[in-house]
Amino acid sequence: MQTVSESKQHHWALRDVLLLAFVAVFIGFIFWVLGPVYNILAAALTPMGLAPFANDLLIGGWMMAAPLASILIRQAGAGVLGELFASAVEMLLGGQWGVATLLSGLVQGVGSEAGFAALAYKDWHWRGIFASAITGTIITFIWSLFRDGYASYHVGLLVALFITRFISLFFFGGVLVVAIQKLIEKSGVLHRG
Amino acid sequence: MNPLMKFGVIMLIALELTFIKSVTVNLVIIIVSALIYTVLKLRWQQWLWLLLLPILPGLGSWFSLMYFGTGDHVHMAWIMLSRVFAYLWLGGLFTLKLNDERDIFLATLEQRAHLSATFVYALVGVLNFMPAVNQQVKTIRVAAQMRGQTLHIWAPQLYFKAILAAIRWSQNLAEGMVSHGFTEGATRTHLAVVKIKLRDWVIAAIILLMFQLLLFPGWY
Repeated sequence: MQTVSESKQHHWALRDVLLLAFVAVFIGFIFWVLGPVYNILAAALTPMGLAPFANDLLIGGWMMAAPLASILIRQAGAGVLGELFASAVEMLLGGQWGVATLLSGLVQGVGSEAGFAALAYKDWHWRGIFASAITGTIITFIWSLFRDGYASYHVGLLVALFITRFISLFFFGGVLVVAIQKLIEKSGVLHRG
Repeated sequence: MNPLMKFGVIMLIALELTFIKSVTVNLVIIIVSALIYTVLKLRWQQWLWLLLLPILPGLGSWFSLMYFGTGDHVHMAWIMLSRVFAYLWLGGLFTLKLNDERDIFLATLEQRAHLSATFVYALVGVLNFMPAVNQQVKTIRVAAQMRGQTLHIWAPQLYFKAILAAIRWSQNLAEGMVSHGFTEGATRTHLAVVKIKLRDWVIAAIILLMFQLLLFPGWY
């Protein structure tokens, strides 16, 4: 049984930091396994000019580390740190975006954490999780307008991409995280004290 | 050059590249990186990796912008194609050498950037556990298959089991660190003291300055 520190101060206990880092690395690897799927999907969509959909469809998975870290550690900054660790793993494994992966990780972490922050870091259950999926979609989409050149797309494509991204985040960062949280709470592996 | 300084310079340039709309600037970054790589003597596999990896996301953006772009979209398509290469080639300057420079990078983070030792050692642990984590994810899936379950990427059980492993490992590592004398928040002494040479600061300043000058002509 793991005890997660319940302190509200800005103090990071060693075991919390390690837990957060490991969870992030696991998520990084789970989605690394999926890398070929992304490549095939992206390659299939490229000639039609629809490759960004491959990215937006899977983005929720790459961003899962943030809400998971938040619900496990329940501390301000956990989401950002979790996503940063996860993106560092992705970069070191040879992600296609090189150093920009870290910048995106930071943006994604902030985006996801904004949802929990909007609820004053008081709700770590489904409300907080879904709020983080919504803010995550909006903030990463603004980032994509610049980094991925989304600002030059037709409005129709932008709307479709936005909806795709939201569905992805709603599922991976929302529904799935809520389900994982249920499993964790039923199993009683986390003891808060 | 100190790896943390190098990292800082690379991150700053990468951040600026995100907002710069110029094919020329991207090409200059790629060419300069290539020149540095020839000095570093890469293996041919690494060259291949640098050449092939950005093609898919680069062409993906290129086709999309060509088909569905508005305004100056042809220009933007070429920017995105060259930008993906610039990101990876620039980042490779840091990541391809990281194996040799990892210790000094982490030591600099702790001693010069004054990042809390807790985070630095979490990073050390995580970097060293990466192969074990990879193996554990495979084990979880194989173990489930033995019971006739396939754990897909959307199965909460997959993540639950990964979190269980993360909990156990983080606890073991925390206990191991404490039993080896790690004290949270204590001032640490260092056997090897890292110093950043004045030369490194000067080089970093020159590189950043030259990069800013590159932006003035407003190239295509």
